[in-house]
Amino acid sequence: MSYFNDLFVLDTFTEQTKLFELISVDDVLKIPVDSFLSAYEISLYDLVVASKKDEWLAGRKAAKKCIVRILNSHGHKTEQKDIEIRNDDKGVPFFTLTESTDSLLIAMVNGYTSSISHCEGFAVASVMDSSEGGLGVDIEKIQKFKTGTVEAFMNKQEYDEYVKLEPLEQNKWATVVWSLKEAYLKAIKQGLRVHPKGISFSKNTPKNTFSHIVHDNQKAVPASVYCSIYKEEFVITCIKI
Amino acid sequence: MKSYDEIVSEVKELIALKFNFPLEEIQPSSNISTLAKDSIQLFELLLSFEQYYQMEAAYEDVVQMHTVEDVTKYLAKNKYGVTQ
Repeated sequence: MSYFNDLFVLDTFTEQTKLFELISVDDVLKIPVDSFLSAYEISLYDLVVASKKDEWLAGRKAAKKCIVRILNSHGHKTEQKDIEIRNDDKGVPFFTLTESTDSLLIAMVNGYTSSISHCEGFAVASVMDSSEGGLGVDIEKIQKFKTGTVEAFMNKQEYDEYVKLEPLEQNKWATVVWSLKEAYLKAIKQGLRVHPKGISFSKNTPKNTFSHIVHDNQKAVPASVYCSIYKEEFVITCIKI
Repeated sequence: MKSYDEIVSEVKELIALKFNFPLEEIQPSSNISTLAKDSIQLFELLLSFEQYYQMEAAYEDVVQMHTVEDVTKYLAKNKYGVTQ
């Protein structure tokens, strides 16, 4: 996988990373919902389709762990239940406080943005100061893609590399490429409105980072990227632009 | 010429097939991204609209839409010249 290795080096997942929170659905289901969701969030949870309820919950829990950790590091003792996660008109999560009159703290909480992703029993979330740029996280199970799908989302360079690989490596490569594109599309708040085929990544400078991401021949965007294989089953990506 | 109801059924069947989702649970008001298991499924559905209806613009138009009804109206009008 020469192009793959030129582009970045995949790390073994480390639990030490503070870039994001990774939570298993099994762990979250052991915790009472009303211990970390506000009344409004519980009403939203009731509306989530049955097949996505557990992962939705895990995503919320992961995002709240992130924001509480940040607030605690700034000396603000805050409970997860007091922070509410809402979504803007593009679906991007943001935070509000339910029980506080501290205008400084309210402004601080409102200034953070989050990205949440879930897949087959796990959820990841990351949080950053929205004034610093865009944020996108993604978790994908390594899987076999249909040939037509791969051809549709990979650019020529990515696809040329893909066809050279053994089947199992093809699955990993395709999942990594998809995850990178998905996380980037979240970071620019476009989702699939930007066609993934038009996105390309330039060669890394330090390990695990891309110097630039380009889509549809527009100006290159500097980016910081973490991409890792978790338990040999999942790809986890976090992109900050 | 297809009727609007036939196009509704066609769109619902395509979604059910691509998402492996029970056909009877897909309503005109259903939000498509909510029905999808993940973004890969959603992407594959967008591709299949493009291929099935042989409309190159389908991806970029349909991706802006939310509900099954939105997509049905779009395809009915732009592919078949049919209105509800």
